Amino acid sequence: MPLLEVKNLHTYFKTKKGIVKAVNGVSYSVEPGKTIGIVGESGSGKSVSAMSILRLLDANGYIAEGEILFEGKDLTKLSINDMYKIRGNAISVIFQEPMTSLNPVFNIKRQLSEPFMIHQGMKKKEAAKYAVKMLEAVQIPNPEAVMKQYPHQLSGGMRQRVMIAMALACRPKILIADEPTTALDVTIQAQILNLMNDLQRENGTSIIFITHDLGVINEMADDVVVMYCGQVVEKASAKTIFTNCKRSHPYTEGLMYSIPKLDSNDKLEPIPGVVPHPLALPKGCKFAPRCKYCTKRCEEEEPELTMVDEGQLVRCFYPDKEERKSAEHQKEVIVHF
Amino acid sequence: MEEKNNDLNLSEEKQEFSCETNDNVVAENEVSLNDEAVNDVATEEENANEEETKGEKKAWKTFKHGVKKTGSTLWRWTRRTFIGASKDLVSEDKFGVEDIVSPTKQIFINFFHKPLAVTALVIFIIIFLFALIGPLVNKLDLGYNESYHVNIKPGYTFMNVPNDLKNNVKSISSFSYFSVGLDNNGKVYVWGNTKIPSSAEKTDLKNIPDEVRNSKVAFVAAGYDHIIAITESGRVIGWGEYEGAQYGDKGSLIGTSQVIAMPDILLNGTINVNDVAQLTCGYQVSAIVMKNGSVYVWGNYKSGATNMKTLRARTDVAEIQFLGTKCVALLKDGSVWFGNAEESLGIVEIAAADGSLTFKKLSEYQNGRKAVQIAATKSAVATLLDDGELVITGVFNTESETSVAQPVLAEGETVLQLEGGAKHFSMLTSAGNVYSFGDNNLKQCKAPGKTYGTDSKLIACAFQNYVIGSDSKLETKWGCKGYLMGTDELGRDVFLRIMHGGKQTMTIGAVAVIISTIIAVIIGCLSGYFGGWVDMLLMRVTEIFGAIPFLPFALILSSILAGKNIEENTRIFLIMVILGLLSWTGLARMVRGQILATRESEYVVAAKAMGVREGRIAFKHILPNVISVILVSVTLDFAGCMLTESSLSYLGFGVRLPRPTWGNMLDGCNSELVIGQFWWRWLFPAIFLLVTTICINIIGDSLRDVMDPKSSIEK
Repeated sequence: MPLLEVKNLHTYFKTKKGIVKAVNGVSYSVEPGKTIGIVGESGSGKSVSAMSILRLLDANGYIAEGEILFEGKDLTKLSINDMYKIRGNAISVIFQEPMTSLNPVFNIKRQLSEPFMIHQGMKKKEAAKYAVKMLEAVQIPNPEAVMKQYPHQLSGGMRQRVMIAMALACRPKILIADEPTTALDVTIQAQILNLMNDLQRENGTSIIFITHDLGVINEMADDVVVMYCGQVVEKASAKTIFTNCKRSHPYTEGLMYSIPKLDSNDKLEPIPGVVPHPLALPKGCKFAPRCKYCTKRCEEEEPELTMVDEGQLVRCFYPDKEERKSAEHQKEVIVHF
Repeated sequence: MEEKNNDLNLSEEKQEFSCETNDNVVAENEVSLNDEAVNDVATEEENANEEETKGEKKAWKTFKHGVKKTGSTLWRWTRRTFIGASKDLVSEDKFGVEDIVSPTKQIFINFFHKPLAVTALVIFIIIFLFALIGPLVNKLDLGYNESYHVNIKPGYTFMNVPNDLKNNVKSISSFSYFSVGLDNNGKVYVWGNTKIPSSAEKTDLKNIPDEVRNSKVAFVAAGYDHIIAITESGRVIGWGEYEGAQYGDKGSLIGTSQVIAMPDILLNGTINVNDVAQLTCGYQVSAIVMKNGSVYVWGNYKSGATNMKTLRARTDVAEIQFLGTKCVALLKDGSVWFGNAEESLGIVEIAAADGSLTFKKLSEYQNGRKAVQIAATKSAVATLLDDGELVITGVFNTESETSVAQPVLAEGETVLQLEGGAKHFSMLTSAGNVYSFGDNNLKQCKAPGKTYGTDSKLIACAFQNYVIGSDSKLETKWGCKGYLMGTDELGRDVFLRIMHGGKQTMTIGAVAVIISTIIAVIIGCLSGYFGGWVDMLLMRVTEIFGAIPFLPFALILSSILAGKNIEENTRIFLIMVILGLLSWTGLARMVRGQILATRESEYVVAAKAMGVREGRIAFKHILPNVISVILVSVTLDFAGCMLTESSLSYLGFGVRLPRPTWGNMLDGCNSELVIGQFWWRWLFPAIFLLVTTICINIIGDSLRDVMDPKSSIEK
């Protein structure tokens, strides 16, 4: 039984120009102790879907439809008081910007003691003890000294470690990592990823890993959800996506080509065009305007998420790679660029 | 040398254009060059030959270098503080590594690197302590006034006995703010506040008439605003104010029923000095007692001594004493004459053992005992009876905080001399002790605890006391020296009132600021953090409060309160509350704005994701981030509230007289007379108010600078 199940989630934002459907019918599930990676470009709704789980949406955002089942409870229907008990306790978050996610006027001791004090009702001194232990767990050298320091005195990697320590303080069942390594340089990135893997192994935490970096996903995830324009376009195990599988969504394919590779001389092949404006989505397939295999059918009909293989779901009329590259298919293709 | 010559050539060329004969210039330059060369040689020679002078020179050089360095440091400091130049790095700074410290500590360090801020802080602390501790040491009697010391200008001149007089004193006399002394050679001295404050003609009592100056004087006495002297030749001469017929026949009241004119024999003739027993003056009245018991009295008796008229016919008077508006006389038969004032001055209060009071006339109380000496204050008479008993009749209060109680004499100790001031009595006893008792507001009862010869002469002036030894030397003096910052229209010490007023003003300012800050922070936080309809509602309430015109509203509230007959302390508390309630809007908006900006920051989202509750986020996570804004605003508002309180009090709607504040002390400013003539009454409170508010503002501004990382301290 999955630990967390997101079923047909619709998260909308009210704006002056109309309703933005940021997440439009997304479903995925998180198994205990596994990592699910959510991939997509900026604006594809991957962060919003994750934030919907904790109901940390902006004031104009709301969950219009769908269920989020966590241990059998529907999080969308819980009272705000019950949500306080879940946030930071059963489900916690690591944010993208370690530079700004720590309160600049508190020292590390105070920041790190807070989850213990809030969720486990500890006194200051006791909480501080546990805070030092957490700093040790995230491999910060000289934790006693760091406890007295302020965020601005720490480097980016150190701050992200502190953030991870805070997120893991109450041994959450699920850790939502919202692009945790984007703001860090590559070596630090690798250290942080290793740390997260180690901690996951120790604590058995499930991780929802949100990123646009497929390389990181390859490193971390067991399952991958690829999102585009608020929809899931492909759902598969990491193995399936990163080995040369036969079927995939053209967007996933495009993303794979966009990864720079050191060992090949091929030119990088970016996905042309931009993500469509959320208030002016195309009628048929949302990816059709940027798709190099797009046909007339694609522009008129919207494909369903269909099972194409064991454990692989793709939202495309032409999931077979060979087939859509064939000369026969090329005849029908509408060329946009 | 060659270079210089080139320069010379250039200058030659230039000067050719000016069509002047430049031969002279060239010549001069050449001469100066030669001189330099000669000098160089000379110095070399000196260095080689004169080793001794070298050491001296070196020291001089070091000294010069030191001066130069100090000068440049001072200049750099001035430039940086007042002109805003950048900090010049000295060599030690260049490679220095900055220690990392906590933000609070950093703020402290930065603050104390600002000389201006530190100066302001020090001045403010001094004024603050002055207003905080001063009132504890120097008590203020709210009901106090001193009609004899009205509008005295600043200065400590009251007891400046002239040096010539000090060793040769015959008598000293003072009834108000100036003193007159007479030495054994018959020379008259005047000191104190000799310019009469209320005088239209700016009379200066130092202008002793030539007749007095040139002749030997036998008796001299000072009244409220005039002096009377009797020369050895028997002439009676007065100077000072004369409007109330104090002397002469030119006063505007002469011929009215207000005054008794100076007797003709005194005005134009002479009296035998050897027959004169006593000369004394009072409030615009004067009296001469002859040895045969007859008296001359004259002056503005309606104001000075209403019972004086009936004294004229008596021929058995031994001594006259003037009170505030009466006079009493000791008669030769040992009784005391009160005239029509016996009811108010001549009744003895006898307390029985059970605490009940009975009243007896002094003449009955005497019961055959004779009065030996009398002395008078403004409103009380002390009579020394021949069995040693001292009877005090009239109004004499020794029970307030600022007075000294009548001393209990030791067994067998008797009073030798009894003297009366304006509000105190002084006495010299057979043991050589001097005692003063009664009102001590002006330190007139601060008698030294020493003993003096029993043949010394004790003189109690209105507010001063002098002990003259048997050799006519001035042994000691105590009493009112004068006023550091002058007195106001009721004779109250301006300095003392500034001290107490400062306490009042600062308390009101501080409490008002605390109230307003609490309201502003709560409203601002709620409004900014929760937004939506909460924000909408609270901001409209803020706008309503902000739209209330402050002064009219405060005036209305204050006048409503005035009608309610509320106790003064409650009233003052209400003023604080009103000030607080009306001044929170600005800060509330500022806090709201800051919180709106901070609310969207990532660490707030992170805190939410952590499961921190809304209230805790608003007050514990966001508030500390805007605390700098609040702190600065509180400092500046403190000054603002002090000023508002002052303006309210100045208008008469704040704290009311007699309770002083810096604001209501300025109320005299409404009058041209006060602004022009009695400058000390408004200048000093205004300076205190000004300096305090400027200091607070500088502190607030500097705080803002050091707390805002964007306004770098090193420009």
